[in-house]
Amino acid sequence: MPASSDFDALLARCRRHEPAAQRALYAHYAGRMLGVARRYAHSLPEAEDILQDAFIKVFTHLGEFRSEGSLEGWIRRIVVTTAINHWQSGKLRRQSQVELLDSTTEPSVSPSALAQLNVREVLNLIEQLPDGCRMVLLLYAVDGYSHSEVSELLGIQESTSKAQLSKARKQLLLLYQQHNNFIRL
Amino acid sequence: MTPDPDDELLDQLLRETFNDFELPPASRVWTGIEGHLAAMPPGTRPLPLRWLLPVVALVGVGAGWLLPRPANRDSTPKTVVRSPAAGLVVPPRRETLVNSAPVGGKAMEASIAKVRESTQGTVGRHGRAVVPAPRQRVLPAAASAVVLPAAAISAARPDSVPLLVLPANADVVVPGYTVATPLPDSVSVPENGAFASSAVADATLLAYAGEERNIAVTQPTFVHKEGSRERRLGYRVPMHRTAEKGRGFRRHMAFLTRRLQHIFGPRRSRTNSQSNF
Repeated sequence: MPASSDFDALLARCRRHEPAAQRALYAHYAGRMLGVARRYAHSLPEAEDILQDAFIKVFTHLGEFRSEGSLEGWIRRIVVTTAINHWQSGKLRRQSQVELLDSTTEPSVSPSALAQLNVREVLNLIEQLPDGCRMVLLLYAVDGYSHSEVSELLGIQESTSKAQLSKARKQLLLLYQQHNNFIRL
Repeated sequence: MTPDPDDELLDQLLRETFNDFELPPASRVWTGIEGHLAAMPPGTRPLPLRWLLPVVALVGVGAGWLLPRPANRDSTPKTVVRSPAAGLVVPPRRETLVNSAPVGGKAMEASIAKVRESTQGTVGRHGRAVVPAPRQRVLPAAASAVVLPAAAISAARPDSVPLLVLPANADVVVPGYTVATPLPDSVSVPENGAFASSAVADATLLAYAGEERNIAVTQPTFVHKEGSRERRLGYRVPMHRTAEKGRGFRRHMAFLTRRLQHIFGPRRSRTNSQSNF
């Protein structure tokens, strides 16, 4: 993170639409924001499309940023909103529906077992969740949105969000259990 | 509702897992962003409302200031001339005649000349206008006052027709007539004997004998000396109603202008105490 004065100068230059400053700002945040977009997308190219659209919004509306919070948080919210818009517009909807595991079965593994997985393996497990459950789990558990915010973003009821979250947690543990049993076999 | 500790643990693990998750973006991403930004129109600056509203207010006040003032209405020449048959002829003002010439043309000039000829018969020996004065109190209108000694008043004959002797260039106010002429600062009245022996000795102020104390009174100004405005009885001049200063937008602008003059004007006390009609 550059010094505050330098960062303010960089923002001021970006507001004046200087390409060099925009390039510098993009280079500073692109990696982390692509990671955020990748969680909501099903593939890296899709995540890059989300990142591109999100940064276009960032540079277009940078004048509306009031410096009341962190710029990274502001950009992150833009990326998340853009990803949800992509998903809702059908660009990221999978053609085939995910086959849910038997929800009556209780997972026999502890959540702490997930700590042994790296980020790629966790991401692989999350991608196998149904879209609704995956969105609610990422929004609530990873990005820290409340149920009311999740319901507003996804256009669902708060009770639906809570139910989807509970189901997502259970399905994630079942998927991990299935994955772990498959490796043992 | 107490959250399940297992659920909290799962959420915590997911947050820690994705906390430092970064991916190197492809170069095509920035190329696409750059292309979109270059294709967009140059930055449209938002309206500077902070400056726009005061500028609009200033322009409005300026436009209101430049609007024609309702005071200019009175500058229209208005001539009031009665025919000699009515018993009293009052010569109109010279400037009124000049101003009204284009309107009436030669017919108007002939009428004016006739009026002047008939007026000469009413002018006294000393070039003073002799006007039969009715019972109504007639006093000069200027700031100066006509002061008559009490002796002169008591010497007047009681059976004569009441006449008021005024200088020729004084303002004469008669019911139904108003003539605006310059008034000297003071009017000299001859001594007792001279007054009685003069041709105007018939002019008596008997009608005012009981009011001799009131003669030397400075009456409110009837004739405004500024500009060409003058008071004519045939026209109603509003003196107390601001609504006559205009209608609608002009009225509001006049009110706003007066308020601003009151606030910012250098002669604040004068503006405050005396309305500018």
